[in-house]
Amino acid sequence: MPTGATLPQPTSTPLSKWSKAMPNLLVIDDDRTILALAEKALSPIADITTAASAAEGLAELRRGAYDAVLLDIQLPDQNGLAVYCEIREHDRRIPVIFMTVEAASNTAIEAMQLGAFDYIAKPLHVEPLRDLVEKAIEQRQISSVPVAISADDEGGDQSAELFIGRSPAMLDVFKAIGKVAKQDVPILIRGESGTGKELVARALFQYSHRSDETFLAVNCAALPDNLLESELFGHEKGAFTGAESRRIGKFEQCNGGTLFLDEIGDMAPSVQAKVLRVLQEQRFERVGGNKELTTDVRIIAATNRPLEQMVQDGDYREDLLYRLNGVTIELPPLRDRLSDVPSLIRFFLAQAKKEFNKPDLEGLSPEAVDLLTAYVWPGNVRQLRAVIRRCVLDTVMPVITPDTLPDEITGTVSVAEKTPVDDATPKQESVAGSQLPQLVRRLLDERSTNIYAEAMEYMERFVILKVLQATDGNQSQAAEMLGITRGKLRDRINSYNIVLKSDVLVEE
Amino acid sequence: MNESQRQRFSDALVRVAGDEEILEMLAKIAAEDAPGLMSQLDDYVKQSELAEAARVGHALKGLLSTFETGEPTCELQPLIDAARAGDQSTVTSVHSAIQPDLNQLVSEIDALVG
Repeated sequence: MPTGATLPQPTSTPLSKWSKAMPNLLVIDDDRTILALAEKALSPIADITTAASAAEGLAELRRGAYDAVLLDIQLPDQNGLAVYCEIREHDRRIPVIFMTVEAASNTAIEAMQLGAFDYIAKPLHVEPLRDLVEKAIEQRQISSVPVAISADDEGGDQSAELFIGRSPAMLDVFKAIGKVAKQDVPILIRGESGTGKELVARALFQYSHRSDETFLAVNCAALPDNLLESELFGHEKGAFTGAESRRIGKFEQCNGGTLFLDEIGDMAPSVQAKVLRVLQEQRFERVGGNKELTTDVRIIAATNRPLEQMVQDGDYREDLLYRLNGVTIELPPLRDRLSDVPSLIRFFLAQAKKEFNKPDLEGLSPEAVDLLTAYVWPGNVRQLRAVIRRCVLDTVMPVITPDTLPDEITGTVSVAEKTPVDDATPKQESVAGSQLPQLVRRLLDERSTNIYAEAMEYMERFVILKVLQATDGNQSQAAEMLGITRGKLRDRINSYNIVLKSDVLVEE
Repeated sequence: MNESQRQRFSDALVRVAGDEEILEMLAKIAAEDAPGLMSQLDDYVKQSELAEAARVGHALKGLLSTFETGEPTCELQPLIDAARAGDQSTVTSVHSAIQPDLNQLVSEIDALVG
């Protein structure tokens, strides 16, 4: 098999699942079966370049622009760790995944502690390998998008939507970022879903003293409690069923860097206690381990949940809340900064025009802009972005007019009708959950990058409604049946605007 | 790939997500590369070049583990460890003990090539 060669390029630039040009992956290994397997298995998600030695791999790395590297830990001409250091010297933000026949080797652990993205044991399993490479590429994209922080920079870099807008509420956010980015303190970012909490975290990282170090993001709501604990703190071999080798957690991996804990409110008490200890003492143990480890990690947390209420309900540790919210940045909902909508439209329009290759698109008609600026945007900036992208995709004319806009914006369907649920007898289609296929199709059409979260929200709302109906609105019983705390259920009822009416027979 | 081969390499098939075409492609490469590595290992063991024996043993283990992680592939690890420790007698005895099984595995891999 030839090495040092990229797979043949189709005539037009292919788009990846990230709706941009295919990412580039460099695979360095002297085992030809590994190179062949990577080329075959990973070509749907990335353009693969292979190298059979350290020298060849490093030369290739300097020639190309790579989004991730798969690196054998033992190469014929150079130790993998030395190669890793050279990769870091070239570009500190390229995620490097080590491959090793000896998963518990000291070299692999040492590499992780130096900031390698992860390691994977040989023989390679295609599916976990693909998942890991996708995660690495996502990480690369999160940590390398440049942002412009100056609120006064009129001609500033418009590559990040966070810094678009001059409303007083957003100027306060910009100022807060400027003030605290370089302070080595934990920060809590609060705001409704879709307001851009992750963008703030990214900005805080990029303007901190740790900007050359690792930035890792963990969504605490996306993992079951036991897996979250292992993800954050790592585990020892044999710590639990399936723990076949030692694993380095994010706190250890991110030593010297910044860890973004999204959805910090969705954390089991046992994990809360361990996170608190890291915040207080920068110390922790891997799951199943006795050895105390130290780490130097800056924590940026985010939530849209009412942590104070959760503390009162006994669902959240008060001491953790106080540790986290020493500095809090509140992101306003879009309805509180409607004056920023035109700038955001311009930004998303230009972005979508380029991305979907619509050179003839001139813009939006004044009527369309009026409707967009009068809408309340319950889904915030994320919803606005999705609407603009969909309009750009749908339009066949050079100007987007009101008839291209979704019904809820033109007023064909009232806002109230589109509000998630306004009582416990929601519409038949919502209760039945029958809109999931349409929702996923629409999100696919819009090339959304948030399909998982939106589908999960839809599913969660549906499940909670069904169980509440089954218990005639009894929350304690519903929480028990759902296997969640009453506090969590109350929080979800509030989030989804479910109003329980005990005197109303709940019908499907 | 026939039914007995599917059973023999069932774990390997799971690792490649059931894609027999990929496994056959990998088998072709392994069948080309394994004999050379085994012959190098043989030479290095005989010449007491233990560092090289460890390196080639490691490469052979990686190559064969795509198809079989149990014996005889896993038996290469004691050989590698002994070679790294400079223990010539263990290297020699392990090497002669596992050689027939390694040859058998390589021939089974070779038979996968359509």
